[in-house]
Amino acid sequence: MKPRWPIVVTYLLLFAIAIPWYWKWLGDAATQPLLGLPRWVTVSILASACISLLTAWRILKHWPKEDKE
Amino acid sequence: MIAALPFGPGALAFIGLYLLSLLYLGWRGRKAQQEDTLKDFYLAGSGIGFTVLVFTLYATQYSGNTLFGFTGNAHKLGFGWLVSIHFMTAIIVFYLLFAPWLHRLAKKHNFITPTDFLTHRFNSTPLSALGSVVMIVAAANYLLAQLIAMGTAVEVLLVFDVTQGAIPNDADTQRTAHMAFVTGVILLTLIMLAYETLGGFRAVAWTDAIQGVILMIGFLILLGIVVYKLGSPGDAVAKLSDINAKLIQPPDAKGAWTWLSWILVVGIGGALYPQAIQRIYAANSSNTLRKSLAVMAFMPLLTTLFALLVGIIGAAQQYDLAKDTFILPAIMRNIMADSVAGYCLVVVLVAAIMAALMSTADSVLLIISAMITKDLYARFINSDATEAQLTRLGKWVSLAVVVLMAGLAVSLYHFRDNNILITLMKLKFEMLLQLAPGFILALHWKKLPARAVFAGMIIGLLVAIGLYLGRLAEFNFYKQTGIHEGVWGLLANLIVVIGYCSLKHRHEKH
Repeated sequence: MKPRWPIVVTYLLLFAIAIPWYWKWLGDAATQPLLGLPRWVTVSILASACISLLTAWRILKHWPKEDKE
Repeated sequence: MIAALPFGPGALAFIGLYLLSLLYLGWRGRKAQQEDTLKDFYLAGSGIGFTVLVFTLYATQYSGNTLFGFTGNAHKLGFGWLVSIHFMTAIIVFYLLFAPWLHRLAKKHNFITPTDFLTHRFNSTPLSALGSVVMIVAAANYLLAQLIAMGTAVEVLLVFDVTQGAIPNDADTQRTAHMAFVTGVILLTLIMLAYETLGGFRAVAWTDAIQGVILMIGFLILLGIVVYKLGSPGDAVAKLSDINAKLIQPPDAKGAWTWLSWILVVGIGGALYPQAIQRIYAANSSNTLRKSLAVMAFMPLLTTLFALLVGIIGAAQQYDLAKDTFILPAIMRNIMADSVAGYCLVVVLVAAIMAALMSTADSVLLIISAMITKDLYARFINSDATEAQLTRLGKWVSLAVVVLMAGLAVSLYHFRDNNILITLMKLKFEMLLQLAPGFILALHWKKLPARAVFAGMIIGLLVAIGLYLGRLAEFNFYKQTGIHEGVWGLLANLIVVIGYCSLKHRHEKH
């Protein structure tokens, strides 16, 4: 499981979406309902679900096979 | 006291039966013991399989704090506490950086405690000793928090008055509350100690499996009945936008930095829990660990998210509560008073709360016992002790630690404050974070020297604990910067490590 930059960038991107730092520029859109929750909450939860999926995929597909000391 | 109990004989019999089943598993664990060695007692011999590993990881990672603290925080902070889902997910992401290699090394070199890796990798007595002390202090801190939470849970479940939103202030109820707290601490601690001493890690993992199942069912039931009784999260959001809109607003810029800080603190600190590292060692194969971690990646969505939504729905009910952590008992009292089915579900939830508390506390107690016995006693006091002697000593250490911690928990009864669980939980993370270079960097950076890690850890601890203690002197660095003290400590730690290595490299070049 060597660090692969596309994966690292994807993680950074997903955490950047999950952390709601950018909603202040989007005005009232942040609290408009989406799937019954404020939009920023739904987006953050979906980003978290993507992080979980990416992590599980990474674990199942790229678990290291060689010893490393 | 019985007159004050909100539960009937059937409910008490169910809870009693559940507690007895834990003792039975402890006895079965003893029967399954293959040899009188540290490896058998602390890692269940050749290790545990997929199902038990998933549930022991789950039950250990999600404690009573997830039920009381997280619902309470969601009640207080609203969706601002959504960060809890991200930091619990981050724990599994950070495992990717070291768990596969650590597991292989553990199997190859028969590691028992986390310090065994430090010793194997660095062969430095000061570094191993410092690592052990940091982990023992952090784990003891956590154990104390769990024992206090055990007593508080029993106290609140028995004497909380939903109409007052508090434990009534009259002398009789206060006496009953105190008695319930002490009884809770002592009874649950005794049961935990009994099954752990009987069966060691095997018993702890097996009971964790039962406790994990009950905890998972408890979370499902909790969200299900809360939605059924009090309305959906959507209804709660609509109501909160009228009565308390700040609970549904996204955090401001400083708040967003705090989210990042939480993700780093709990993500790295949680992955480096000594009891979690013990479970990495205990997986019977690399494949078992791989599949278990893949499942664990989804647990925050099934557990932390549920706790958050329960707290949010509770906030919309506008209960008048003395403490935010009373939101769960308030909801439970509301549900159990409504119907027989609601009453039965709450009884299962009570078992889930006990499961959450005991499954975390037993794991922490076992790893403290392992570290004191193997890393301190066997290394520094009696290096000739046999495996059987050390195993026997480990059981006595468990007893001594638990007596000390339970005594402390009971004596702290009158000094508890609103945020004691959260405050205690934070300090351990500030410390555990400083182990990151020694475990994570060291696995990938072959030339990383012991002195750099040791110096970095010392500086990191001084910065993190120094700044943290500033909170007591009205100097709250965390509040001023929005970043946890442990993250500043880790930054200083890394600067020292990298600075030391580059200076050494330059010196060698010349």
